[in-house]
Amino acid sequence: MSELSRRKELECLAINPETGKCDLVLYLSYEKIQTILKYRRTPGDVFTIKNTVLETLQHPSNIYKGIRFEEDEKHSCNAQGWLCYCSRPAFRYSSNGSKIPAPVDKIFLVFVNVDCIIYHWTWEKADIDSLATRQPRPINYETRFNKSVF
Amino acid sequence: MTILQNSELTEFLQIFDITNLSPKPFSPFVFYNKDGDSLEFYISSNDFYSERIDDYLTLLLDMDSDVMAGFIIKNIKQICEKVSASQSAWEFVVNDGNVKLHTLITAFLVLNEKTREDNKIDKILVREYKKVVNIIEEKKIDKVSLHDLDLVGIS
Repeated sequence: MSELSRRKELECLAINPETGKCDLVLYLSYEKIQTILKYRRTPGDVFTIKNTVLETLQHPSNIYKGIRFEEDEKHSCNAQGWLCYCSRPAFRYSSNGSKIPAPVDKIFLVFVNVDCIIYHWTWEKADIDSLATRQPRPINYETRFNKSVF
Repeated sequence: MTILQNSELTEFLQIFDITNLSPKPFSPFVFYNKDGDSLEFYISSNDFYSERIDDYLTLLLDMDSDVMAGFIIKNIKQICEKVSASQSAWEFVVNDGNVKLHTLITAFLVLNEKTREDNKIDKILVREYKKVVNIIEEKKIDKVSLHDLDLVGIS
């Protein structure tokens, strides 16, 4: 597969926090996914990447900006900064790839760096008070992120 | 990119030069995620969630049992630049081209302590870091090649 076609395959459209439209082009981290699939070898990882990550990018409950040290951010040449997309999907994928109900006390986060690379995604505990709202948030969101941008 | 169906699994794997996901015995592995500037340790293939301990350490915990399934050390370049600023400390960490992980993690903790405003050791933080050091020793994943890390400022 050529580098150009591979890059196209890694492309994802996400909600742009500046416009509210689904027109922000992001890229999955090739090395991260290759390593995860090569060593963990679980179908659930594939379905999570292709379905849950995509759902979170396109239907986030919140988007936060500024998720790393200020010292890191000074190297940024991209006004978007480091982003974290949050959502509360109804389902998750187990290691064997089966679709099961999502944990009730957790939300799904997708992290994006200044180069628009999606470098990490994971389930985390939710802020309990926010679970009953339409905008569930990750635990300690007040101190962890610089600001909410969506 | 569209929502994946079962039949598309093979096509997706081909993007990453992987032919199939046929089961193999799982072995713990370490990966330097350059896009996230983090070292990721996976010690189980079970489903996991993340628990952020501090700016440097995130634990990966088994979704069902809460047992540690791995961990992530973040801000690697930044912390290594701080460590390498002290030559004696760096010689202590690096040996024969490898990073001694348990020593590196201890260095993270010490640096973290120094950056705390009240300059007191956080006992909970120490406990979490000790868990990580114990796992590293238990799983015998105690070194990472400098070549693999490809870090700026390390030679």
